[in-house]
Amino acid sequence: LKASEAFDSRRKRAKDWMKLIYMSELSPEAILRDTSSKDSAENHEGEEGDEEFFHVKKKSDPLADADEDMDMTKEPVDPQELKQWEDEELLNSLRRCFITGGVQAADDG
Amino acid sequence: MALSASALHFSGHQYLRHRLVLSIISGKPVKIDKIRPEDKNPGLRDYEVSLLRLLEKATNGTVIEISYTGTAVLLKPGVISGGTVTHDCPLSRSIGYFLEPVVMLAPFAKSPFQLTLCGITTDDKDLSVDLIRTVTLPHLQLFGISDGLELRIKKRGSPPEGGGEIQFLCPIVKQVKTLNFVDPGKIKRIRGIAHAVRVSPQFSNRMIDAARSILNRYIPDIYLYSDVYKGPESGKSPGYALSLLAESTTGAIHCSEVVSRPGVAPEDIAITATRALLSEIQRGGCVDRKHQTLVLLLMVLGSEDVGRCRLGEPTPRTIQFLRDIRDFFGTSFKIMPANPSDPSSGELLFSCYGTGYTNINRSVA
Repeated sequence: LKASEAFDSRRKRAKDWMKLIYMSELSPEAILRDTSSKDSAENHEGEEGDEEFFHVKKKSDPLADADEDMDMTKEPVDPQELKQWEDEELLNSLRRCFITGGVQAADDG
Repeated sequence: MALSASALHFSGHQYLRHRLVLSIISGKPVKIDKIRPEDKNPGLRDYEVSLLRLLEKATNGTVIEISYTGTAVLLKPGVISGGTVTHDCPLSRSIGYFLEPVVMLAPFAKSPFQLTLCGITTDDKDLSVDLIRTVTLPHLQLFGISDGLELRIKKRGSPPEGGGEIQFLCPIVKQVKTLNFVDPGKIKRIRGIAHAVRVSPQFSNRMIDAARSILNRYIPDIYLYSDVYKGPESGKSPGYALSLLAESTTGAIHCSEVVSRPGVAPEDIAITATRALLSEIQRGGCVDRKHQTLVLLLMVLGSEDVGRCRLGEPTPRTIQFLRDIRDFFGTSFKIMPANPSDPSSGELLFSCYGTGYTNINRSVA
C-alpha cells in the first residue's frame, strides 16, 4: 500500500515545468498555485484540517493580486508558514543539510 | 518608427526591471504599454522613472520615450558605458531596487562601473545592500566576475528618510564562464549582519542572541556580526534588520532578511529572519531563491556550451523571467527533476546552451 501511495504522490508531484512555462499561457502565479494547492490540500487535510485558508487564496482574483504587485525581489514573509519551525521534529530534520548532520544525529540518537 | 515596429512588446507594470535589463543586454528595443492604465494614478511611478534615468546615465545612446500619460515606454538600448555614475534614489524604493538591475548589466560595460547610489539601504521589498554585498556578489563570482568586485556601505539609511550611501565597483569581463553547479553540498557556516541605526545599539545584540537560540543546534561555525554605524553615517531614520546567510561546502549560499517594523521586538524580527533562512535551506538547490534570475541570466550569456544548475522550485518572478529570456535570446532551459528517484524533492536541474555572449562594449586596450 505504501509503495502505491508513494507512486501516486509522485505522479501528482511530477510537474512538466517546461510545458507549463514555455507552452502554456498560465500566469506564473497560476502555475505555482496549481502545484501548491495540490500539495497543501494533501498535507493539511490530514494534519491540521485548516483548509479554509487555502480556499480564500484560490478564490482571490488574480487581477487584484496583480494590482498590488510591486516588482519586488524579496518575497513577503508569511508568519503562518514560518510557524512550522516551532516544531522540534522539523528543526531536527533539517540537520541533514549541515556538515555536522551525520555526526550529531548519531550522538543524539 | 521602424525600430518600434521591431521592438519586443510587453504589457503591464510588472517585471519592468528585468525587461529593461534584457533589452539593454540583448540590444533589442522594448516597448512596454498598459502600465497601470486603470489606476487612479495611472502610468509609471516615480521610482520607475528614476530607474529609467539611471539606465540612461549608465549607458550611451539609449533612447527612452515615455508616452504623454506615462502608461507606455519605449526603450532603444545604447551601449553600456559604465564608468563613474552617481544617482539619488527616490525614497519610495530602496537602493536595492536600482542596484539589482545594474548588477546584471555591469559586467558587460565598456569600462568598469564606479556607481554611487544614495537613499534607503535596507527595506522589506528588495535586496538590502548587505545581501547584495554578501550574497549577490559571490553569485557573480561563480561566473568569473571577481577581481575588483566590491560594494562599500558608506552610510546606512533606513526608511522613511533614508540618507544612506553605497559605492558599487564592478569589473568588466569579455565573456562569462559556463556554470556547472549541481551539488548543493552541506552547510558549513552561517554568517549574519545585525545592524541598528538611531536606536539602542543593544538591539543588534538582542537580535543576535535570538537568532542563535535557534541556529546553535546545527553548527558551531556561526558568526553574527553587530554592525555599528554612528552619527551622520547612520542615516536620517531609526531602524534595524537582521540579514542571515548559510554557506555550503560547495559554495551554495542561501539567505534571508527581516527588517524592523514598528511595535515588533528585535527578538521577533530575528526569529522570523532565522525561520525564513531555515525555509530557504529546506527548499534546497544550489542558488538562493532571490538570486535565481541573476544566475539563469548569466547562464544564458555563457559560452557556447551546456551550463547546468540545480535550483529549488522557481519563484513567480523566475518563471516570467524564463519566458522573457526566451523572447529576447531565443533560449529555453531544459528543466528536469534533479532527483527522479526521490519524488518528495522539489529540486530541479536547469540546463541551457549558452548564447556565447561577448562583451562588445569593452574597450580594447
